[in-house]
Amino acid sequence: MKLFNLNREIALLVLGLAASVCWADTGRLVDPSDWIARTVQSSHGITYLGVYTFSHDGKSETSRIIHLKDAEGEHGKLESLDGPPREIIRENDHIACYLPDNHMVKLDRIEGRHFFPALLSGSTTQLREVYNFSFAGSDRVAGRECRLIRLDPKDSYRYGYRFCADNQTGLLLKASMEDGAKGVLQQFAFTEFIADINIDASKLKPSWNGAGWTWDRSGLIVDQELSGVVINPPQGFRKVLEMHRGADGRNLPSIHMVFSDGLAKVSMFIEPARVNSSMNSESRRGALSFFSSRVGDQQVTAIGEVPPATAEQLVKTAVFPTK
Amino acid sequence: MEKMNEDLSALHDGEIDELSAVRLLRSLDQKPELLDEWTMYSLIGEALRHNEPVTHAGVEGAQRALAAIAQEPIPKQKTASRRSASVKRSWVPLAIAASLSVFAIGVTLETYEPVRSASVAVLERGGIVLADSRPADQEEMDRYADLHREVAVPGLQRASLVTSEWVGGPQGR
Repeated sequence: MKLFNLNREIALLVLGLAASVCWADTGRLVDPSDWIARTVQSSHGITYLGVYTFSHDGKSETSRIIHLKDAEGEHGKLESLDGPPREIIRENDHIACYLPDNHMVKLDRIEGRHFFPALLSGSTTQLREVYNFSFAGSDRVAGRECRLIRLDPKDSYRYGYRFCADNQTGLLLKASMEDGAKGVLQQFAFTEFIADINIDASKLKPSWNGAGWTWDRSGLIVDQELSGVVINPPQGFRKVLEMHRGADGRNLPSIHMVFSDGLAKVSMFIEPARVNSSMNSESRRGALSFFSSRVGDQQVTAIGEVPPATAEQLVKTAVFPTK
Repeated sequence: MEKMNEDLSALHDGEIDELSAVRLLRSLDQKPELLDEWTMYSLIGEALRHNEPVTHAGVEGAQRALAAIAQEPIPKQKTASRRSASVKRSWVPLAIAASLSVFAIGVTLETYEPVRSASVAVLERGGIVLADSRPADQEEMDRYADLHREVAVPGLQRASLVTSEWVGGPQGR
């Protein structure tokens, strides 16, 4: 009898441990903020591979992604599965973009770039300034159970988002950008997803060796001198990147800034105005808003996945340093 | 007066900043002779571009529009708060750079709606269509979209290959 009781206690202990292990995945995450934080952690901290579709404005693009996390850091490969072949190889904080149809490899730094499933660049505190978080039930994406989380904007300077985070890993399996009036503006969704697997390093090699191609290293140059242009962005938006362009004579904008609220992103370009440039021009395409204005002898342009008012404010508040 | 004529010509050619344009348009309301100059530039522009003169009814529409503009306050540039210029560093899986697209051999598959300058749009609301509206530089907007894609959108293809039409003007809101 005593032996029976001992066995029963051991059994209960084992069951309890097993339950707590399962609970550790999702049970303690009673607040949507915890889930948001978990998606950020998992996007950097786990190994996975998958195929996802980016749908926007009635079009779609399909890509295969491999992300390997090991003792040496993060490594990855992203390849386009439709249209002209393109590949991006990541080695920690550097990326190499292979453009076979141009026989070119472009090397760049990863800073300021945030792509699915690692869409979030801001902390949950920063995001909470401008979004309300809430749970919205459960769903199933790529054959996996996931938790729906809504991020509703607190003002009209950004769109809303709906995430579905994998129950097991926390990684975003699906992310939709929504406008209350127009519904879903764009969406990322895995169609195939496998996590926590062993990935052979050879899978991360580019399909081309780039021999005889042009290797553009201009993106690796760190700009020490910033423009000094001051922008007063809508609440929550901060400048996350500023770089100079056009040094290679390709008629590119001379300054490229990126503003983000931790999720939405807007690019700003400042370049010498042309004689016949428009005073103001604006346009929209799907989630993308475009606003450009001539400020003195400069053309200031904003473009990003934000409502038109956001692009307009960024442009109209540009103040240039006194010469 | 000669300076105003020059400004008027610049306005018609779209080579004047917004603030100066509004000031000039206010002056037009107070000096009918300047409005005649404006009409002349419009007629010349029409003749050069379409061989179709602006109608008198159109000019009256312009007068109404200018009267409306005169009621509007002159816009002032807001003062921006100085922010840290430091570049925030971020670490994200597989950031992608569709700079690809910047160098890609571009084929524009779509056509785009024209974008008009603000001054022209205002005048159009007054009932006159001046020939000064420049078509949107679609390739230019795609170029900006491609550069933005380098840092913000995971699609790997060039913007013009995977997106639809731009919708221009205030009506796009």
